[in-house]
Amino acid sequence: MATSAPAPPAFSPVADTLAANRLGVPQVVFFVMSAATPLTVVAGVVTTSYGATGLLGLPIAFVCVGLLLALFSVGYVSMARRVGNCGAFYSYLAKGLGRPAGVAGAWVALLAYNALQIGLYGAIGAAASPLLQQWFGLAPPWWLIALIAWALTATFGLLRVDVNGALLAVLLLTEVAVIGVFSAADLLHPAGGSVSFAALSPGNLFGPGVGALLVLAVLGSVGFESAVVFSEESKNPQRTVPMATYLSVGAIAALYTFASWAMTVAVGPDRIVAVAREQGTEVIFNLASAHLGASAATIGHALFTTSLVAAMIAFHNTTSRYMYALGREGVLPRRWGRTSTATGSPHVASLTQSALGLIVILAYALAGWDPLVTLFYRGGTSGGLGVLLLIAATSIAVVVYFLRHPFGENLWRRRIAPLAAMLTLGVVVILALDNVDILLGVPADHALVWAVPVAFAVAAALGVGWGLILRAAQPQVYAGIGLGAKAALASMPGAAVPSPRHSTTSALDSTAAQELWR
Amino acid sequence: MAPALADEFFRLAHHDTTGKPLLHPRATDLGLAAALLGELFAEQKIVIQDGRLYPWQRTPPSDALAHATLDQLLAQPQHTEVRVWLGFLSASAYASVADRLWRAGHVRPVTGRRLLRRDTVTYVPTDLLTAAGPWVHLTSILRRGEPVGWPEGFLLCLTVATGLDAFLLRDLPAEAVDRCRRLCAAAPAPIGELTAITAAAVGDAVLSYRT
Repeated sequence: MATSAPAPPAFSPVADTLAANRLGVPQVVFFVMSAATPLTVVAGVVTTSYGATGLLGLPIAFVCVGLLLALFSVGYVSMARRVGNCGAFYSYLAKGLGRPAGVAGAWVALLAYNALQIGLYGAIGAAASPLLQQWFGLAPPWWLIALIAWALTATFGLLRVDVNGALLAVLLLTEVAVIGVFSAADLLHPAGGSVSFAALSPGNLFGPGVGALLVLAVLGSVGFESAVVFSEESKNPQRTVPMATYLSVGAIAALYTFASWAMTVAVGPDRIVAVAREQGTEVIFNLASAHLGASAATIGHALFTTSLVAAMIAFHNTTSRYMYALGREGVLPRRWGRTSTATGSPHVASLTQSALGLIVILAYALAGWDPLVTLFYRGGTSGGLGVLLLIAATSIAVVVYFLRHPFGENLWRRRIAPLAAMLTLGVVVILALDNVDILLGVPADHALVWAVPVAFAVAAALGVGWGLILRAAQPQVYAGIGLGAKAALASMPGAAVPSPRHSTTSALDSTAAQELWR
Repeated sequence: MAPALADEFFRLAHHDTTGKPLLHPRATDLGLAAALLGELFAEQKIVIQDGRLYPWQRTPPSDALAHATLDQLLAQPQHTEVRVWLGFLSASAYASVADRLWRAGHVRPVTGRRLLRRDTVTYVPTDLLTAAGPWVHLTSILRRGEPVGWPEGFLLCLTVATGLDAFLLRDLPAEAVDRCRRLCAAAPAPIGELTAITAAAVGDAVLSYRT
């Protein structure tokens, strides 16, 4: 009996044309990493974290969070292919836990990403001041620098001048190189003459404040979730996107662990907290200046500034795309789902985000609050907590989704890894909520300790409420929740998306159609 | 013979005297690709169902571009998803439709040079009346509140799907705007399907935009 040989792949201009523009693993990793802007994390987040939490365990927390996020990503990337708007956590919630949960996730995400983006305005003053002082002898107030950065971000967002991919790649590589060189120099000049591994000791994870450290490590990793956005444009969605996600998570964890550990080696594990409190974001530049000369610090400062601006633009775009997707779905007013006809930017969403940023900068300037600690650090950590809550909720959604649709994935990807990730993330969330005071660097009786978690809870509750209202009042919109731009397909007959519970084509509709269509 | 759909969409998407594009390129490309599929659908060369398209009649259409498009479809029966075809056709739709308009004498290409930018070709309409034709036609239908059919209904839904309605509906009374919205919501299956897939592709292009 002749067995039919597999047919040779048919000549297909369609496949070729679509593949020509497709992304491989390196490109996707670059997109993810450049949005993660490493120097912002190393110079900004790591230093302020040592100061605000007073804890040494950040390097080992990066290791743990890297492993945890890799575990989480197993189920996450497996589910990505079945989700409409796969770059956004709320789509997973809508698909796994129901559409009201999806709206709740969307509200929490809007709050968290806005906090992350606006928080960055608090650091730009500290980053740019030394350069302005050194080059021009200027000492402008922080809010003036923040307003200039804000104007730049708002304009770029509106004109859709996304910073050129090649430029971002160069910036990213230089940032990584600078972090590598600075950290290597740190290791060559250990405090007390010997390299201390104290910060890498797992023992740090069993002391008080571990929840805070884990949130900070999550904060540093924000952005890893965006690789899945390129599912439809990748060469091989089955391989490219998971590979890129794991590589990004691994690279981010390795780089930050190394850099934050090297800092403790050079300063001395016993002194890092005091030095970080005194010098703020200057810690790594002062070290570089001592080890490598003043010009190294200048290069570092310049890159820190560009890194912050790149991060602002990246988070601005993420946030406005969230709003845009929600506008396309009809969860936010449709107006947010419109693009500028000339530039194709989601201009209404972009303007909204910029307006929020402006209000916060002006409020902080008028109130005279400290930008670095109260805006950058607290904004960033609050946002990081929100993202952690989203990741944890998404891990539940992944488990539930694969319980209901146990097809096409092996046991590890649909059951074991998601379940393990869900349980671990649950523990991390409990630890984090227990450590909000340490995380924010405030006394335990400070109002923020309950205000930040309550804000997320209120956002989630309002989201569930809005989802239920939509279910009753606008079944068409309800059907599209979590689908992003694909919500347009929700009303399509026989579409590959779930149809609303109530049939939308009633007798009334068909008479209306007769009057409109001939 | 009525003007081809993609020509009409091209005219709608460009300024009627200067030929400057009104939309960002990705939306124009996808709209033109959808209009090319619409031409084949109108001539009953394809059927569209459940997000997929299937060849119906294999006899070649009279128009050269439609003929070429149909040949592409027939040669690659392994691809049936409308979304995939929109993606494929959008890569070449602009050049082919502009070329068809140029061959018929409706536009003339003008190369513009701008500092530090790539040279851009603008297709300037040769006749204002023809160029503004679809615009006038669609807005007057909406103003008069007449029921629409093929091809006006399809073009209206396509302008909404690509975001061109921001221009088309700008000066119309609220009643006509509302009519346009209801009309698109109640579009018959193939029109509604093709334009909904276009709208989703236009929206996704914004969400996964990269440089």
